[in-house]
Amino acid sequence: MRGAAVTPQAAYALGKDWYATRLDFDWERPGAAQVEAAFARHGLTGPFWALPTEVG
Amino acid sequence: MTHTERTVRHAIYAAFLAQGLAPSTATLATQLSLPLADVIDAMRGLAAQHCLTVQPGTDEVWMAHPFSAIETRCVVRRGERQWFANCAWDAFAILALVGDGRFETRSPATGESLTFEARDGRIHGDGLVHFLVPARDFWKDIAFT
Repeated sequence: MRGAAVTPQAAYALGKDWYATRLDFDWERPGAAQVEAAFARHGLTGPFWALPTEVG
Repeated sequence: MTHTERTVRHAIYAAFLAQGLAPSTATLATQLSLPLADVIDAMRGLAAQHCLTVQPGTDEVWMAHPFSAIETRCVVRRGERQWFANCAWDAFAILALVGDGRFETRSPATGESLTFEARDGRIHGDGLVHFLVPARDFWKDIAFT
């Protein structure tokens, strides 16, 4: 299978983490290191989840 | 991000959360007492910074992740309210934002109807979220992602 598969529970937990501040007025788009750290907190590591440049 | 961009972005997310719908630029201008041209500038700035996506050929909201302004096959429901998500991951993220509710979709592989329920911090339902595009390429074609 191409890509990566994530359980619904992990997707929910990642969503809770990733979007925790999205509705705040002062929200800032996270940098690559912050995004990678969020992925890693939910077990999403390896080349598929690596970020050489910033993403949102 | 400028102050006007923050104001517009915040109003869009508040509307999505409360109503499941994105306000038009005209509605935003009225609601925020801003000139329409300033709202449009803000929309273009936010899109350029990948803070949201506009519908092709317009300055109207398409995606303010995890929400979609247009109907999709990923629907989140909580009571009488509903939201459209851009993808399955976004649907679970909407559940994380709005509280306990249901995510209804169809399997991209089989067309089978699928329902997941968020209850007390747990997701109930069988299936997997498939990411086809690696993280480094999410924004190369965000609609495809």
